[in-house]
Formats: sequence, structure tokens, C-alpha cells
Amino acid sequence: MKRLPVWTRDLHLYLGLVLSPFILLFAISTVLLNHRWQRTPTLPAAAKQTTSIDVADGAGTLAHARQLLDQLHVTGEIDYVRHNAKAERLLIPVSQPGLTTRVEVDLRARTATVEREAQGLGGALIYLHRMPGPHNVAIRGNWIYLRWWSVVTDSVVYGVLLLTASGLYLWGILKAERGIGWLMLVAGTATVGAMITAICAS
Amino acid sequence: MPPSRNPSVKTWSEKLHIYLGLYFLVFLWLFAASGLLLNHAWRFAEFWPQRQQSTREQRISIPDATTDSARAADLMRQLGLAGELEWTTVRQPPERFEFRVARPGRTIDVKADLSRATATVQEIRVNGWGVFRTLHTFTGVRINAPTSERDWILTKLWSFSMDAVAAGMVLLVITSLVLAYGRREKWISSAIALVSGILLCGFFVFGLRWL
Repeated sequence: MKRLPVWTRDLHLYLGLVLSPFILLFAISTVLLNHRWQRTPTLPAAAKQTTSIDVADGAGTLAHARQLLDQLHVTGEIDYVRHNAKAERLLIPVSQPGLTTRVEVDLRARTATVEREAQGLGGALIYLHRMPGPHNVAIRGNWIYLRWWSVVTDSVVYGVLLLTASGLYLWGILKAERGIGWLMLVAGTATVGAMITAICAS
Repeated sequence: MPPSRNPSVKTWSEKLHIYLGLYFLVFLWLFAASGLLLNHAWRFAEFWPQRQQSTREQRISIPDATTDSARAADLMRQLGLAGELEWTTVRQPPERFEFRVARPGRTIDVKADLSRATATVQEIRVNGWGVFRTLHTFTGVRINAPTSERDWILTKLWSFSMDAVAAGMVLLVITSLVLAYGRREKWISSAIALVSGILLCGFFVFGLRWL
């Protein structure tokens, strides 16, 4: 039993260090999102390129879109696939941290226009903060690395919960910081409670 | 623990680490848990199918204000509404003025007919899970709407608290690095833990675009 505080202290130390880059990622991207950060364009225009492609049947599906993207060497998470059957055109926006690619396919002419736009480090942090998110759930995670990221974000959350639990335990056995510690805990809880009550009840 | 080269830095880092951690504990739980909810469509946390809708019509006096936001603020006061003004729009004919007021748990669409001096107020209320999720994203601004501004005092306060939590987390990380540096007997294992985190995080932030 005497070893429990030592183990907990080590767990808190190592877990905190592993998670610290992720905590910084979420903290910085929170500020960027909260202040509507927008990338300052550094390039005169997004890089645009038109090429011929082979078009198979089944336009509008995710598998079909992925097959077209493979031909164009475009990788990333497909945001959505919009098939305009009347105009025989496909729109496939693809994202990855720090880069967005817009692919427009002319099914009749069998050509594809690929437009790449770098989003910079801020854009990458914002993208990772928002992914996988609550939108387009049916197709989200169509890129393997986004599925990995989804597992990583879940692990970060569970890790943070474990970190706070171990932190509470370590504070509990540290008698010297009881008074101010309780004051901070109560003040923080009261601040959250008062703000949520005001937002929801006013 | 061996004494660090500068004991006052270590002592203050330890105190700051404990106090900040305790102050932001509930904030952190809230944002961590709501983030988890946003990433998973768990059935137990469904809120949209259980929403409650109501519609009422109310007489209004025509606002004197010239700007859309001032007109909306005037109508909100008359209709007894509070929240963040999301958008306004003037429909044809120009006597129709519409706007949306939102806050966690409630979305209110107001359609004012200025020629008849009436307003239709359509309200959607969601359950606690809906409130919980919205608190995570309730900033009052949208990245793709550069002209939107926070106009409700509580949105400003909530948004400020998000910044404060973010700053608190950065300070927690900095103080944890100082404290880890003070534990010399753990330097190698600490460095392995930190470098593992940096490599994994760096892979997603910088590495994916090169794949």
C-alpha cells in the first residue's frame, strides 16, 4: 500500500509527459478557433492542375471517389462526394492536416481538376481539433490515418481523465496544499456551475 | 526528490501546477467529456430526436434602429429573448426581417412581419446532452463567417473561459516540464515519455501531408 503513492506519482509524471504535446495541440487550436484564426495567404493562388482520368461506373459512391483519387495521387479524408448527374460532374473535397484538395471531375470529358491549398500549421491544428467530429458520421474515417487519429483523440481524453484522477489522489495525500487546494477546486467548480446556470437559465 | 538548482522555481511550479490543475479540473472534465461525445454518435447521448418545438406569434412595435443587429436586439428585448444573435436576414418584401438567437440547449428563429407588426417565434429545445455538446463549441463566432461577432455577454464570458482553460493547460504543461526536470533520477524515462508524445503528435500534425 505504501508503494501506491510512488506508482501514482510515476504514472502522473509519464502520462502527463506523453500527453503534453496533445494538450498543447488542443489548447492552441482552442484559441485559434475561439478567435476565428484564418490563414494569411502566402501563395498567389492555390495550385491547380487538370489531367485525364479513367472513369468507372458507380459515380457518387465513396469507393468510386477513392478510386479516382488514387489515379490522381490525392490522399486524405474525403469530406463528402457531390454528384451532379445532370451536368455529369463530381466534386470531391479532400482534407488532411494542413492541406485541402478540391477535386472536380468532368465525367463526360473524363478529366479531373485538382486544386491544392496549404492551410499552414494553424490550419493543421484546427483540423485535428475538429476531427472526426459530429458531421458526416456515415463516411467519416474513410482515410485510415483519420481513423487512427480518432483512436488517439479518444486515448488522449481517457488519459486526461486518468491524469486528473491521479492528480487528485496525489493532492489528497499532500497535506501542505489542502487549504488553498480546496479553495481553488471550489472556486473552479463554482465558476463553471455559475456560468452554465447563467447561460442555460437566463 | 533531489533538490533542483533553483528551489524557488521548483516550489512555485509545484504550487502553480496543483492550483491550476484544481481550478480547471471541472472545466477540463467538461471539455474532455463533451469532446468525446462530439466524436461518437452514442445512442444514450442522443438529443435531436427528443427535441421539443414550439411556435408562438406575438405583436411587436416596429424597431427604430437602422442596423440589422440593433433591430434584432430591439425585437429580442420586446420578445423577452436572450442569447447569441447568430444571423439576421431581410427577406423580400423588405418588411420581413428574420434572425436566429442561439445558446446551449435552445435555438430560436424569429420571423418578424414589420408591415403587420407581428413576430413568429419558433423555439427548439434540446435535452441536457444537447446542452453539454453545445457548450464545447459555443464561441459565438464561426471560422467561415468572418463578420459574425459575439454580442451576448455570456457568450463573451464563456469564450473568455475557453481561452483561460487553454492558457491554464499551457501553464500546466510548462510547470510539469519544470517538475519533471527536477526529478533527475527519472530523466531518461521522462525523456522517453516526452519524446514518444512529441513523435506521435508530430506524426499527425506534420507527417501526414507527406504520405
